[in-house]
Amino acid sequence: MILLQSPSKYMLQILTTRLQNLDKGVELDCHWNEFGDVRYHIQGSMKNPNLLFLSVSLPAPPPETVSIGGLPPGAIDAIKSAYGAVAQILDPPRDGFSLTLKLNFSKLPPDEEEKHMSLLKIASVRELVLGAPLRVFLKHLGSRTAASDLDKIVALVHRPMESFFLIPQVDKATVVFPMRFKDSTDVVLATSFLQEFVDARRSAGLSNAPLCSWSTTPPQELKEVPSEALSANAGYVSFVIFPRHVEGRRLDRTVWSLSTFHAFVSYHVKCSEGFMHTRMRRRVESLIQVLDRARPDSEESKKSIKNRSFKRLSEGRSEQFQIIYFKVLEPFSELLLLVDSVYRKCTCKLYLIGLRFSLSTSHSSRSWIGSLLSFEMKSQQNGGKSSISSENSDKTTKTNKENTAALYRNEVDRGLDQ
Amino acid sequence: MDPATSRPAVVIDNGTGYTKMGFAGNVEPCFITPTVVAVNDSFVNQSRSTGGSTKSNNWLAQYSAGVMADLDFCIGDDALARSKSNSVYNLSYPIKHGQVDNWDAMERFWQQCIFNYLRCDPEDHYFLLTESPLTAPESREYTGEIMFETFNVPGLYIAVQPVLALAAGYTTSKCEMTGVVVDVGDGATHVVPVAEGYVIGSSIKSIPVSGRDVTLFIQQLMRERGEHVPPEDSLEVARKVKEMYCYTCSDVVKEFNKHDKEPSKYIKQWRGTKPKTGAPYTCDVGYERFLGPEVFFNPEINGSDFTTPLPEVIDKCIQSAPIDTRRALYKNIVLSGGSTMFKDFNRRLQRDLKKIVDARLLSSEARLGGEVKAQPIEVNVVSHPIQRYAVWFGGSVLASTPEFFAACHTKAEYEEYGASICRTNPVFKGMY
Repeated sequence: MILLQSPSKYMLQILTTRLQNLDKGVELDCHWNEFGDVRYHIQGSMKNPNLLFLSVSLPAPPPETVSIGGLPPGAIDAIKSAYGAVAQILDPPRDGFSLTLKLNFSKLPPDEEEKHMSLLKIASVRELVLGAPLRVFLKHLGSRTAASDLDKIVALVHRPMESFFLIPQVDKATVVFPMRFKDSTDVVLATSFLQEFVDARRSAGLSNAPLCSWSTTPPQELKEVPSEALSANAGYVSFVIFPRHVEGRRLDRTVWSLSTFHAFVSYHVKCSEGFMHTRMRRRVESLIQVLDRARPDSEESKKSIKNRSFKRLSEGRSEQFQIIYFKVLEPFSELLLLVDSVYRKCTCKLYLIGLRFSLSTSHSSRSWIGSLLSFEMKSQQNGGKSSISSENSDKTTKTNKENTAALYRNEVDRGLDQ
Repeated sequence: MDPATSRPAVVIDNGTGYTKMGFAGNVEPCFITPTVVAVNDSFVNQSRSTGGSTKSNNWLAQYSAGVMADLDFCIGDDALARSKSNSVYNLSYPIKHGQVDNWDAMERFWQQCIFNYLRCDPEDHYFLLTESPLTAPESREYTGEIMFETFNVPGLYIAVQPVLALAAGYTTSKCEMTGVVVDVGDGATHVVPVAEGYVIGSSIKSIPVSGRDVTLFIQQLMRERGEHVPPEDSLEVARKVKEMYCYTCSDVVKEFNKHDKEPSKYIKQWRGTKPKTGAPYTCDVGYERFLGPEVFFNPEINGSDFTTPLPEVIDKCIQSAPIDTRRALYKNIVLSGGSTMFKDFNRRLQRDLKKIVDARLLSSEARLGGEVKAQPIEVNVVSHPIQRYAVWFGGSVLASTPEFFAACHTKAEYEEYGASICRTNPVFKGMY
């Protein structure tokens, strides 16, 4: 999974199982949370299996955003037009929630296919409600009908007490994200990830993707915004959205991609950490194998090295071996960063491809690696800038590898001599 | 105050066969999904073997393809479906016999659980994970390392599965934290005595008969009888048959007679389609309906490696526990795990166990010559409807109490002391 999907998997599962078992109604009462502090509650009773109460609570809005009764402007209209008779908005909403919908399954369209579509729509309620204001602006942009308040900065909430900014203009809209991360490692990874975005945009195949830029200081356009709303520790990313990015069906996907941009970056920061661990483990395993081979046969027979932490493995060995470990692993840290940059490059490209819509919407079911690889091939033929730089890094990797191997061999020899 | 404590904790129970995950405070897990990862292994060896002779451009293409292949994986039912339709993917089972075997796969599995299934931000929630009673402290450390380093969780609690299973029973009936948990999962069977919430580690008994063995036994029975099940599908069919039709009988011989007298009543039909041609087929499900679960009570029908029946193992386990806990242990034998879901499994277990206990009581009375009359021992096997995910439910109950957050290992502690904090239970803080 590269891009986050719009419908909530769990809600979709609840709704479909409910629909399949309408005749044997069961009590239903589930609470769950989603990224960005969105909270859901769904309740259904045994007596009337056709009715379900779905409550949603949104992240707390920061002071600079506009909200009407706890909901972003335009959300109520969006719900009414998207759900029609299936959902009815209850006023006031349940205690502790910003929105409560009464879903009536008897009003669902009779056709199976359409039924599924409308369940999907209900499960995407987050996109509908949180993305409503953004959608309105982008729609204006798409139809090129000037909204009344041009050039006025709009703050849109996407995380608790955090917002991103939209600057609508006649022929384009600029979206600026101040990026904040809690953990210092995350900040470093995210910063290089975001810089990679700018690089990826320059590669040949992506000339139609939105312009994007990253800077450590807030862009000029945002000077009117209070500084506390703009504090960020991983810089500022801005995308320039042109009307071609919001035409027709693209609008929904653009709205979703933009309103979950922060979640997307933080997901991939976590992924790349996990990915680095994978590589590290594989590397350590191969090094330990070599160490085991270098050991005199008289020592204990080979043990399986899986399933044990690195610390314990190193504890079990003599100090000599430990020295070798650290000498070998030190140059390895550079290698890791290189590996990670390849990962970031690929993911950034995929996000931009997503925005450019060369992939179909059902791309999760398709093998995304295939599309990426073909894309890579193309951009390599075109001789993009990024491929040259990575070629360099590849050379460094190789020399590094050779160095490591030589260093290692020397150490082992010395260790055996003593 | 940490805002994460106001949100429900995430409870993930990783079993050998299935993983149960969800949010604390609910009665049911959000997802029950097979613990399996489909990985794209096609580039692992190639990227290494390319040496200096190949051109660097080619090497780069291979290398980044290798990187991408490392990232190309999926878990659960998707993984099973994907590996069937595409030969590039290999299935990897991260947990074997209740222990994490492949940390790479495990880390990926958690990553997908959190981001793709539960769709939560791990920095926002406390986590409750489970482990089998035999897990080594090192592997607990490793779990902590992954959770704190990769996912930046604010707090983590690693609970022992049988204790959670007891806690699940505790809310449905009465407050009882003493009992024997018979945990029969897909990959491991443990009999674990717990006294006042503490696991009596020296008395834990594990037996090599588990849900997987029942499935294999059923598969073997069906194959020997010559049912027309396509070989590539037979394990899956055996699993479905086990889950849908199996039950526990009181007497094997009587059950055989019943089946022979009224085949129409007892023999079920299984319908499926061949995976390759799509042609429908049917097969009969006969004696395996009761012979499958019988593996636990007469293990010798499956193989001669292990021949001690489950009731006897439970009895031995209780007999090795401290003498003052034994009566309480006999009184509260709790079932947990998917493979205890067979109909009447609890009644059969209770009857067989009672027989053993009564026989011992009689013989001791005879030895003493009738001078002392022993009080009869109450044997009680408890079964409840949520047995399949009792461990998860117990975790959900535990994690929704306010004390839970105080008992967690926090990120600050991890940064201060390192992964060794996960070695001990934080309820006894200050002991490391």
